[in-house]
Amino acid sequence: MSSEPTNDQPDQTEPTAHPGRRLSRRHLLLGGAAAGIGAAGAIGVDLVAKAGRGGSAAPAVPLFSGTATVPFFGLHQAGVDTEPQARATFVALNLLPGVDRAALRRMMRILTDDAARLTQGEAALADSEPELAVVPARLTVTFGFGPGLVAIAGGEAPGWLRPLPPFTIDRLQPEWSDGDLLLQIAADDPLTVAHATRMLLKDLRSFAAVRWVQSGFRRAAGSEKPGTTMRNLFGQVDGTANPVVGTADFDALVWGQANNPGWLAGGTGFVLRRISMDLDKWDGLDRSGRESTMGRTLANGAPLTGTKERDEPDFEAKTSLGFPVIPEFSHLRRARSEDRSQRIHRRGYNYDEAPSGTGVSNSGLLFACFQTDVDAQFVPIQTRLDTLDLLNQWTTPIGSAVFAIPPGCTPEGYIGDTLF
Amino acid sequence: MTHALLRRPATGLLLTLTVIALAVLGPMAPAAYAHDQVQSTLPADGEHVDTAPSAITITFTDEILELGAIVMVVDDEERNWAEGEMGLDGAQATQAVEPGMPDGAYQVRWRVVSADGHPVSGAFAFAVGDAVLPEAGSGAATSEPSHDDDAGEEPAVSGDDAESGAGTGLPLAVVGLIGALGGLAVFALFTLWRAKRHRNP
Repeated sequence: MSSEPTNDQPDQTEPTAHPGRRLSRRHLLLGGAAAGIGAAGAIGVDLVAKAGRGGSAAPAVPLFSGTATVPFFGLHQAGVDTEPQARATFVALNLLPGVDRAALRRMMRILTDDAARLTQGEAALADSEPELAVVPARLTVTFGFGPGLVAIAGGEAPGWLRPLPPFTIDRLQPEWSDGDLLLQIAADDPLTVAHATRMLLKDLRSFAAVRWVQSGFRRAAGSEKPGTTMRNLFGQVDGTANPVVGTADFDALVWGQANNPGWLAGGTGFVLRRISMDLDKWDGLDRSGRESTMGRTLANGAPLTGTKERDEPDFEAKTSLGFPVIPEFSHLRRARSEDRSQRIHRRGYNYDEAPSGTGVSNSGLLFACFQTDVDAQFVPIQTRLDTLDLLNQWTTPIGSAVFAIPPGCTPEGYIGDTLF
Repeated sequence: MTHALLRRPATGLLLTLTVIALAVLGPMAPAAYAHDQVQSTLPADGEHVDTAPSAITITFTDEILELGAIVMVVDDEERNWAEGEMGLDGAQATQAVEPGMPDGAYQVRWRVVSADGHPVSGAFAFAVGDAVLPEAGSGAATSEPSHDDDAGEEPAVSGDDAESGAGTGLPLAVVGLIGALGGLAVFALFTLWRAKRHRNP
């Protein structure tokens, strides 16, 4: 390509006098068009290659995933160690005055019966929309008992079954806190969740009144590989440190007996924290600041001292100036305890509600976690985060509730039959 | 004037390529953020003082958070002479040092969290007495993100290893750019071929 000036040529000159030595405007336009067509073509071929491989690689996967079910009966309730579904609705209820032990027994029999049916894709006993029940989409219904319910049942409450101790970062609102009875209704299909929620709340009409409802979401079913750690609305990989379901580690942390009363054997403890995330303020923080705050990369959640999500963080590693690569105020550093028993099983969901005022977001995390002993496992972690955690600049707990999750039951029994 | 410029083949080609590159890569450019910077320090960067200071003062361009602020005053044997808690007053951080710092070169290493929550760190040097500074003016204003491997510059498409094998595994923008260059190459070859045909009909 010549670089000598050729600005003596008129616009429309065909390059016949010195072919190949100059570029007319028409050539430039043609060149640009060729480049554009090339780009579009390359992208198209790339996308087709991706789609083709995705489509032909998995012939064994059923065409529709809505028929998938999770067993209802068993030693443990479903919805705790179940691979998290795409959608979840948490409902807390206040027991109505006059509901006694006998009424609680009736209530739990009805709820158990309908939950067992709905989770297997069958209509509830008096299902007003039975057509909605035929797509279970891995529906699970998990019941939790608050301190008020256990007291009415006359059972011994575990020591931790009470509101969490107050934390300085808390701005709790009663409309998102506490309750006597919890329903965690989760499925890969939002319509399934809505139908199950309505059926079960209809069962509860004469026993309890809704205190709060909190709904959340993850990636839709099939959007990514099962087992992928979820991302929250800050874009962070959220929940990497979870114990692995099916291991002795998980069993000890979640299904262990600890000091829990006998009726809770096979059950566990549950904490739901509604954590408001200030996305508008988070916008003011650049990528490296976000990663320092978390102690992990945004790309794949690896600790700042590692390359893969599950690499062990190296808290001793220093920058060239001698400061920790994973800052001592980062969320990763503060959330982690040297004491391996101070761990929890997280099963959170994102929420995204209508904004108000001048903000453009009203979003956050339904921080849901399971652990045998809330006081011994959850509280120490939350206390450390309360003392120091840069992430607190953008996050505020606005709701808090603790429930005991009773064990599962046999087809002859009902959830809570060990208590009543 | 624009036409005259455009008629230079090399310039025109460069312009075309630049426009394509900008169109393809532009959306990936990181947004600009303003973090706290160091406005001034006492002693100043590169300053020689006759007697050892009793404290180091760093003034930032904006308020800094109490959380995570550290100032170290390190001699050439890596001993930290900072003593006691750091004092914070708005945009100003004051760190007392042990009395009796001997003559010598010192490096002040600091890390703070800006009001926007962004951790920044940096260093500057001063000398007490006749000591010679290793690199004068090492930059009081240098502040860097507090972790070195700044993944922020690369697009967040890498994900985990499991995704490889589908398509080219490259970001679409890169695939597009490669395609664009391929298109240009084909066009250039075609032009050359046509020019040849004109010469030898």
